[in-house]
Amino acid sequence: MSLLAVRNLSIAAGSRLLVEDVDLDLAEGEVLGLVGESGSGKTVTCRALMRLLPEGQLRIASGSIDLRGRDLAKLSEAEMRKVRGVEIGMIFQNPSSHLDPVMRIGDQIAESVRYHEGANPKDAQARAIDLLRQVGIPDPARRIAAYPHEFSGGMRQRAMIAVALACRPKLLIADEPTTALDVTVQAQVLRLLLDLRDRLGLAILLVTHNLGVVAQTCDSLAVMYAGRVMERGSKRDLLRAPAHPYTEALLKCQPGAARPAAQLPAIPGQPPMASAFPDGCRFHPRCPRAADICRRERPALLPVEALPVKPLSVKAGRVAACHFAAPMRAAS
Amino acid sequence: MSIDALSRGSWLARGIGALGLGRANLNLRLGLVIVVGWVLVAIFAPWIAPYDPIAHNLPEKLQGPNLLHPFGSDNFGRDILSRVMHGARIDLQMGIIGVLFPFLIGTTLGAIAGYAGGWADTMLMRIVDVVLAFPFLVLMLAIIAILQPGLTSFYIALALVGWVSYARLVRAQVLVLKTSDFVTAARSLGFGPLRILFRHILPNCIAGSIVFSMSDVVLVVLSGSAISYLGFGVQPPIAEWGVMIAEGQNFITTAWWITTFPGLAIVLMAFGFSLLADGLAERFGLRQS
Repeated sequence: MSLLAVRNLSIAAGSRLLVEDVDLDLAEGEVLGLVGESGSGKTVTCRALMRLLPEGQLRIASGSIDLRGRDLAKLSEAEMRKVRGVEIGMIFQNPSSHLDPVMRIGDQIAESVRYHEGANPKDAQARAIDLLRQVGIPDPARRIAAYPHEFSGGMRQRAMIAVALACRPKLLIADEPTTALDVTVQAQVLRLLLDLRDRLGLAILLVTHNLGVVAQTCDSLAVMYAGRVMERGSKRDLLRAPAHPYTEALLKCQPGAARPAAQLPAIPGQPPMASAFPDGCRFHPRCPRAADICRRERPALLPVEALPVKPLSVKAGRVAACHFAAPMRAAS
Repeated sequence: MSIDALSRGSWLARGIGALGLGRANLNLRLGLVIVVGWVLVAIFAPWIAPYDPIAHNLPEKLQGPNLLHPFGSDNFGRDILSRVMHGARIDLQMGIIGVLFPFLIGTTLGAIAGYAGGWADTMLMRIVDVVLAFPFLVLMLAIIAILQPGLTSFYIALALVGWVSYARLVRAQVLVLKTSDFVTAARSLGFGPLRILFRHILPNCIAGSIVFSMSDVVLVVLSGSAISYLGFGVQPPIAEWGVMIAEGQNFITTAWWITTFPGLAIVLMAFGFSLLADGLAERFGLRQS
């Protein structure tokens, strides 16, 4: 049974839908990648799962967020506070600005333990030390007294992971956790996330625009474009044989996929603004395979058959939203 | 500081630790020296003052500065130096108590207004506008006149009038910080609004208020002296600098020392707190040196 099941989630700004009909499934211990260009609605979707949309600006228009049989979309704010941090942890893109600058690292970890579990200061501190050790910070007993500015970028991200996991949530939402870090540190943080997944049975929703990160970490993948899911399936299927032209285009833009010294291909045009989503398939203005039907009719998310090439396995739940969905060989 | 004490999370203790006076700038050090000097004078006045500040000694009246009376003596023969020292007790107390309550009230109300927004914010800020519409000293005098002249009335009037500056200052900063990333992160940990406001937002914006409170001490001491001078504050024969200046003004042409030395004392104390405010602003990174 899946831990998190999001169905038909739509997020509105006023009367405009920014995110439409998003379905996501996440099992315990699974890492699901949510991929897409800037402005495709990844971050907003994450905020919606936590019910942390900016008040008065964005709201959940419809859909359900089922976490272990409970619909988070229907919980009151007070009930939601017992979910945040306890059942769902969240880490962010920029660890420097997401840690309280005037609070010691250890206090920030212990605070949530004391707040949610009513632990006494000593136990909470012991947990803080243990968590810092688990996220790989050397000499944690001394480091709990440090302020965020005394940590390097990678250490801050580790500390933020420790803060988010303080009350042992089963689901971690990671909103571009490695974007602000340099490449070597990125790899360390990703390895840490996988390691925590293995040890704690953590399910991770990993938001990223970096397919390299996806390839290293995710089990399954959902590709978003202009507020809609374009394609969903296992990482292997999607990366090796994308069925949607957008996924294919994203893969072609990966630096590793191009020939050395050749100019890196880019998807022509810009992703549309939420105020001007095109009719029909939202990707059609930039799509090389666009036909008349793409301008007229919005394609539904329908199952795609896996490419009959070994060793690809046909995994259930492989879907794409394209009139011409067919698995294609990835460029690499 | 032990780790246990820190994990209890007194942000005040952390704030004081963060001052790091070992590496303090010149303004901060000089300001501290002056202020601490006045505090010591105030504490030890009964022991270090050479004479009784109140008892009359008519044979030695109106003497200019000399070896027995370094600051001279007034028309009742009271030693000006002793009266200035004792006056420090009252004036320092005025500065501290007169700032403490406006600080606490203003910071709390401003933080709540900024965080809550909506009608609570509108109401509070309109009250602030009303208070600010009156000249400070006139409003103070009006309130004291309604109550009754004296120090207690002075403190009450200050608490009623002085909080508005703090409320405005803190509200503006809370408005900025409440949408900041670390507040979002705190919300993602399931913390309630009170905890987020008082444990995460307020400690991050209190520095400005602390700096302002130091310069506010100057204002309060000066207005306290002014109000005493006008006869609405501390009553004679108690030694207070404003009272002393008021009493000495009849003799200003013949005995300049009666008004000059308490005046200089006010200037020096104000100078000390001003330096402290400047030094703290620099220290907190609110201003470039």
